[in-house]
Formats: sequence, C-alpha cells, structure tokens
Amino acid sequence: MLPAMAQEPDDVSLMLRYRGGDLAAFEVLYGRHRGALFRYCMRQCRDRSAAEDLFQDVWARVVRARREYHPTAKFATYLYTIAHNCLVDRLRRLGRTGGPGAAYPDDAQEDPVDDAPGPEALALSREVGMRLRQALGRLPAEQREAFLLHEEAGLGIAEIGVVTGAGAETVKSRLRYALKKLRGALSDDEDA
Amino acid sequence: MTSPEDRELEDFLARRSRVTAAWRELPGEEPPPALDARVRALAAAELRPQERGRAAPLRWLRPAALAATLVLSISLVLRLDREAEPPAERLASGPVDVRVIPPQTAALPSAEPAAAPPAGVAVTGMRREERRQDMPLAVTELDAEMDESRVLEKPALPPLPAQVATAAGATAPALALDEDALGEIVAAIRARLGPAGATGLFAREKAATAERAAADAGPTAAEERLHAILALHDAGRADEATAALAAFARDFPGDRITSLIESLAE
Repeated sequence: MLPAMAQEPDDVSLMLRYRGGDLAAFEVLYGRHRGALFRYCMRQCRDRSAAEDLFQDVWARVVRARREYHPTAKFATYLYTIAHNCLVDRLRRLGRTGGPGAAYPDDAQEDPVDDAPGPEALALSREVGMRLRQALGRLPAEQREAFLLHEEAGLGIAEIGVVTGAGAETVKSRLRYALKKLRGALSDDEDA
Repeated sequence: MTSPEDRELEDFLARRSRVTAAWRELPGEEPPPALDARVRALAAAELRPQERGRAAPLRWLRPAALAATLVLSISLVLRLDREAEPPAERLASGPVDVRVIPPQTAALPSAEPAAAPPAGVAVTGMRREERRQDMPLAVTELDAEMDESRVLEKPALPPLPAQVATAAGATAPALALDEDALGEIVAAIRARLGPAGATGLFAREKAATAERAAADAGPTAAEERLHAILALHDAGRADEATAALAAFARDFPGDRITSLIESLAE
C-alpha cells in the first residue's frame, strides 16, 4: 500500500499537468480539495448560495489562471490565496468596504450557513456542532479564517500568513484567541 | 515556561486539541453534484480554447510557413536564373524587337521583318537559334563571339547609315571574318583615315555624325563608307561592320581595303 501511495502525484505536478492540457489531472486535484474548500466557503459566507458562488468562482480563477501557474508554494496555499482574494472581492462588491478585518460578514449572531445535513449527522453531534459553528461564526473574520485555513486546508502558520498577508506572530495570536473562544464554547456545551 | 495558550496552540497545530477533535466530528459538508459538474465543465471548457487557440494555428501555421518558404525560394531561384541567363535569352523570353533597315533608301517602307531578314537587318531581340538559322553564316559566327551585353545596348545606338545599309543589304555576299581579321582591317581603315577615324568613347557620336554626313552628301565615297564601317566597329556592331565591309568590297573592288578584306576572308 505504501509504494502505491508514494506513487500518487502531488498537487503541484497535477496542476502542472492540467496547465499542459491534462483534464484528468484536474479531476484528481479537484477531488482532493473540493470538500475542504467548500467547507471554507460555507463557513465564510452567510448562506449556502453565496458559498457555492464563491466556491465556483475560486475554481474558475484556478482554471483560467492555469497558463500562468508557476509552483512557488504548496498548491493549497495557492488555492486558498485565490479563495481569500475572491472573498475579499465579493464582499467589496457587496459594499462591505474597509480593511481586511472589515471585509468579512459579521455573522456572530447566527449560524452563517443554512446547512442541510443528513439525519445521521444530526443525530451524531447536532448540539456540539451547532455550538462550535456558532462560536466560529462569532469570531472576528481574521481569527475565523486563520482557524479554517489550518483546520480545513491544513496550512501551517507561515502558509496562513502568505494567504492572509499577515506575519507569523499575528497568525499565532489570531489562532490563540480563536482557540480560546472555541474551547469556551465547548466548555459551555459540556457544562450544559 | 510556555503558557497554556501556547500549549493549546501547539496541540492545535499538531491536531491534538479538543477543538480539533470536536471540529472533526462535525458532519463533513461536500459540494453538491451540480456544483461539481459546473466546476468540471469550466475546467474542460478552459482546455478547449487552448486546443483551438494553440494547436489549431499550429496546424495551418506550419504548412503556411512551408508554402511561404517555397514561394520565396522558387522566386529567388528564378530571379537568380534570369540574372545568370544571357541577355539575348532574356530578351527572347519577351517580345522580340526586330529593327529593319530599308534595303534601298530610308524613305522606302519597311520590309517584312520576320520571314527572311536580309543581310542588313539588325536583330536585337531574336533567339540565338533563330538568328543562326536566318542570318548569313559569317555574321552568325561573328555574333556568337560578340559580348551579348552589347546587344542590349544596341537600341540606344544610331541606326546603320543609310548608304552603308543600302550597299550591304542589296547583294553583298557573305563575308567570313574572324575577330583578328576584322581587327586588322579596322586598323588598316583607321590608318588610312587618319586621326579622323572614330574611336573609343566617341564611337556612337561618330557613327551618328557619319550617318548624318552620309545622308547629306549624296553618293557615298569610299572614305565615307570606311568612316561608317569604322564607326560601326567602334560602336560594337561588329556584324554590321562585317556586312558593310562585304558591301564595300563589292562596290570598291580595286581599293586596298578590299584587297585586304579578300586576303583575310576565310
């Protein structure tokens, strides 16, 4: 099994193959990142429709920019940098102008996603999940994004800094605050 | 020394924190199939213009480049071939320019130019083979030794003096003179005529002057005929000079030049 896994092409080589016209390479790449990127979009947008639009917009930019793609970092860093920029652009178009922190929706008072999970999922962790999501939605946009970029996209401190344009210490600080608030939400859940 | 927040961050980054565990227990949301289909269609559509925009031009670009190269090469070769071709051959590919000098007087109407040119016909643009078939042998041989580039220059020269042409064109026998013999005769003529003989750069002007003098002076004297012959020779019109010498020999049988001509004729 290990040799077979080792032979799987990495993201960068898949993207390079797609740049060269290999659609099958894109299919593999898309399959690897579609779920995490979709969850990132769902957590960043107020509703499912906006999340789907954002998701499609990100991939559209990826495929349109394939000729200019040059691997300078992990593909995930590249992908989520595009996602970050798409989100900022989208919010600017919606009229939410200001600094990077103000570019995100202030959705602390409600669950940002109109989820439609299946009954099995609901049964498993409905209460914990709802509290955690609500706590995430109450986070400042920078903290929420830092959390999602690590938890969903698997990015490290430096890579999160690349995507968001922040320094490493800033990213760490955002994550510390985010973890503190999310842990508090879980504690409330346990207390409840 | 590390604070609880730092430790929590380290656990989080190592995916050991409670928050991470709770997050992973959330139901994983996936994009709906319709959204997947849209993205895949975008990716496929993005490749299709690449095939049309890049590969398609290459399909016609190569043959077009090859065709352009061939056209340029062929035109270059043809041009070089034309430039290397003797001037007479080049003229032969274009319209033939045949100038006919009236056999008797300048006032007579032009003779039939093409069928059988008499000895006095000056042919400037005829094929070499036609010239060899139609012209007297001696003239043809002389012509073969001529610098063909001079043939091109002939139209700029004055026509053969009427009297010379008349005499040479009437019944002059064919005269075979090689280049040396012609040169020797011309030298004798030049010696006889003295410094007035046409030479060098002024040959054309001399030939024109001789023509005008001949036209004005009435019956042609031997010296005037020799002047004209010399002018023709110096103007590079050796075949016409040879024909004129033949006519001179016929008209002036006792002349020293005639004797020289007869002695050198082949």
